[in-house]
Amino acid sequence: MLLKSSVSRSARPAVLGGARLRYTVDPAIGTQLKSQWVRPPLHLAKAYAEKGWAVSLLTSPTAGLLEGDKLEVDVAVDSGSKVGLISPAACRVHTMDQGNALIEQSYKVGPGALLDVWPSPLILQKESRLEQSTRVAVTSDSVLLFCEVVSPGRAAYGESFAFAQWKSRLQIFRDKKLVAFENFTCSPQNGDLMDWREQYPDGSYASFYFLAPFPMEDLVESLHQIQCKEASIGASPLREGGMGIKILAADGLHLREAVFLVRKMCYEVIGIKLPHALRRAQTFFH
Amino acid sequence: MKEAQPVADWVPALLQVSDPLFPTGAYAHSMGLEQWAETSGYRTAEDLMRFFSHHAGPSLARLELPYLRFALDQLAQDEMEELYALEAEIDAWKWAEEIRQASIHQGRGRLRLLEKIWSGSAHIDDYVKTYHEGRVYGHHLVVSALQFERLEVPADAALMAYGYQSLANYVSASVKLLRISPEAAQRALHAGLEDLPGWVSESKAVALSEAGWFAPAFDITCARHATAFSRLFIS
Repeated sequence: MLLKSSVSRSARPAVLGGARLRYTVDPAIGTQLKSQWVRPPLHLAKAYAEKGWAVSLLTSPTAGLLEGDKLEVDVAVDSGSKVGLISPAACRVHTMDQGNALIEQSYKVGPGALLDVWPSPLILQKESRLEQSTRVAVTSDSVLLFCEVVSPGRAAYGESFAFAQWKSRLQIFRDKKLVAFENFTCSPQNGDLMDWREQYPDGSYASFYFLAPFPMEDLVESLHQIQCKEASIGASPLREGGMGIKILAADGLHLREAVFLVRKMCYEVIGIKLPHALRRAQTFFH
Repeated sequence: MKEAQPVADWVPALLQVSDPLFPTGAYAHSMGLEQWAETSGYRTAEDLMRFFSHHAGPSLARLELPYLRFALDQLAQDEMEELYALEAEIDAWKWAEEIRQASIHQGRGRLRLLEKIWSGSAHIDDYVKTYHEGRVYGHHLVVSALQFERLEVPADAALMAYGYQSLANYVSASVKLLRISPEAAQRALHAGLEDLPGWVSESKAVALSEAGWFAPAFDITCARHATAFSRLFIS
């Protein structure tokens, strides 16, 4: 007879890993990955260099995040560097008996540098528990395009909002001043996220923080005029310049379309073309 | 014969500052309800009650009332720099600019009256000085904490009064937005106020590290209100 016990459903022990990456710029060859430390469940798959950019691909060779797993990502982008950091495959947060999986992220963007963080979705599967902590520090003359994509379940299995808990804390500092702060714990079984569930019962969510030393007065209006079927986009200026952008869409397909359009408009503000390598490598959004 | 209860001297002043007649400019703001009601197709008092139980109440319980309690605690311990750091957090978690500005607009209105009518508070004087130095913004929640401290309102009553004002503001806006009758509006307010003690009680168990609320669909509509083709309210 099978009894539910305290033994974890995960067959493997928890892993504690992540990536510490530091980028600098060499005027002769452009941005370089100067130092790296990578441990499972992350793998630094490939690096591209194009037009002075360094584009790094972070992938997870494991099945995703299981109970007790801890992922640390610590990225420093030194003065003048241009970095694209992408994960081209979705990261599943699996069913857990108890405990949770942890993701701790820290990003530092130096003067005149550019960091584009463009991950694939985190998928919060049935009875999963995820705790995220993110700290971003930028200077007023640097550029940050920071994206987060979350799917509330495996849509293909008809699973939606069946996760146990999603806890997140995000702080963004610009010149050491706090400009964005999110802190929440959501448990759908407690009736949380009703606004999202009522409007998009199987929908996915994406969030952007876009900080740049360029005028973006017209960006809110332009983003709100995006005609994207089955998706809602809201953009709002941050106190010290920059923009917060949130997207909800009926499904992954419409979310991808909206994410693409938002990114295109942000790059128009920056005034540079998205490196081909960055677009090509982010296969999830193709 | 029963002994008379001690007179609660703070009650008249609390009634005055909680009354819609108290000119903070709240009447000009729907605090996100206008666009949300439009998007959600709200028509009735029952819709408003659902908004209270799904959004306004939990947001009070898990975000705003805990922050009000932290602010009151910091005032009680004379920790003004900590209070100002708390206000910086409040400013940063008000994601939609219109909601952030509405909070500041109402806070400044309330602060102006506090200075005029209830002068003599060292904490209010310090806050006003810091405001003029550009180090604080005048968020309504922090100014409300200064007000409750100045009027010597007990903490539970302060939390309840703040909750009442938040719900009443939505109800006031809903009369114009949903075209519900004053009686229906009062029915919705009554339903919200019946739940308010539970939200206040829940808020008292929330630690600073846990205080927060996440409502992405509501945030999106709040942001979109800023560029809406037509609107009745500033926020």
